[in-house]
Amino acid sequence: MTSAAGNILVAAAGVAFCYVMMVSKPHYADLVAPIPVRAAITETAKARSFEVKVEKVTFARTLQAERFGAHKLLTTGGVWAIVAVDLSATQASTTVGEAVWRGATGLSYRISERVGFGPGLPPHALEPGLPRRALFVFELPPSEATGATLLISGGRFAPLDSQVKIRLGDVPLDEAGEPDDLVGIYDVSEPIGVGDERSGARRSGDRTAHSG
Amino acid sequence: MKACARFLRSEDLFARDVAWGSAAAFGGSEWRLVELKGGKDFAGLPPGAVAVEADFEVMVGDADLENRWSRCKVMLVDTEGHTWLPASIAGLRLPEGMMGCNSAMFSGAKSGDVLKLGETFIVPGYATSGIRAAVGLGSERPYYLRFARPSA
Repeated sequence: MTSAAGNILVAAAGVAFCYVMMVSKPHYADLVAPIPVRAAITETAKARSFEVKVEKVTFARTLQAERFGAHKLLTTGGVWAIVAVDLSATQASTTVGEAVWRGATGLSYRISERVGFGPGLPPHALEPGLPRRALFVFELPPSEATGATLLISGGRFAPLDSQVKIRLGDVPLDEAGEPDDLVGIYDVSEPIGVGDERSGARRSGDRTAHSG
Repeated sequence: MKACARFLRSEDLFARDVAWGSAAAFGGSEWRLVELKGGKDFAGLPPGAVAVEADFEVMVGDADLENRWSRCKVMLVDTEGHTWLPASIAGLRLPEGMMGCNSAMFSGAKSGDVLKLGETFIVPGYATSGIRAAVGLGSERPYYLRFARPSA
C-alpha cells in the first residue's frame, strides 16, 4: 500500500513537473528574438555589427525632402520625429536599415517610408573606421513623443542578432500636447556628416518653401 | 555537428596566403592579384576615406563557376580583423572588359579562359597601408585566399 501510494505520488509529481514545463515554455518568437543592447541617450551602444549614439532628436511639423530633383513638403496630422545618430561598423562592412520608435504606450512606429531614399536616410551602409551621421525619420502622434524608446537593428528580421534599445527620455509638451520645441520645417535632403549640426530645422512661421 | 559543419562552410575563417605576383589554385581556377590601387578624388567619398580598387586575373579551370564560385566574396582585410566589402563609388568605374566576381559566375567562361575581375572599396585613409585583398568562395570555405601587398 505504502509502495503504491509512493508510486502514485512520484507519478503525480512527474505530471505536475511536465505541465509546468509545458506552460512555461517560451514562444518560438521569443526564443529567436533579437538580443537587446540597452543604452541611455548619452551613451554609445555597442551592437554586434555596429555602434550607435543618438546625437539629437528634432520634432517638426513639416518635412522637406528631395524627390527626383524636386523639393517636396511632407505634412502630417501628427509630428515628424527626426533622430540624428552617429553610426559606425565594428568589424566588417554592414548595413543598418531598421528603426522603430516605441512610445510610452507601447505602440511602435517604424521608420517612415514617405520620406523615400537619400543621403543620410536608411538603409545606412557602414564601413569599419568610417563613422557617419545618419537620420531616422518617424511619423507619430504628438502624445507619443515623450517617454519613448528607440530600437535600432540591421534589418527588420534580426533573429538572435543585436537590437539596440535607447531610452529617449521625457519631452516637454505644450498646452496643445505637442513638443515644446517643435520646428516648422525640417529639410532631410541637406547633406550631413559626423559632428555637423543640422541646419535644416527652421522654427514655426519661418517658411522658405512652397507646398507642392 | 550539422550546425557546426554549416557554420564552417559559411564563414571565411582560415587564410591561405599568396605571395605578391603569384597565382593560387582556388575554386577550380588559378587566381592572381594584379593590382591594388587607391585614390581620393571621387565625389561622394566620406571625409578621411580612400577609394581602393583590387584587380585580379583568373584562369578558369573548372568551368562550373556557378557552383565552384557560389557566394563569391572579394574583400579587403587588415591585421586587426576588419573586413571591407565592395562598394560602388560615384565616378569610379571598372575598366572595359573587367567584371565583378558575381558577374563572372554567369559569364559562360570556359576552361582556359582568363577573366579580369575587379572590385572597388571605400576604406579609411589610415587603413590603406595595412589592407590586403582576399577572396572567399562557397566551395572552399572555411578557407580563403589572402594576397600579399605589392612591396613599396
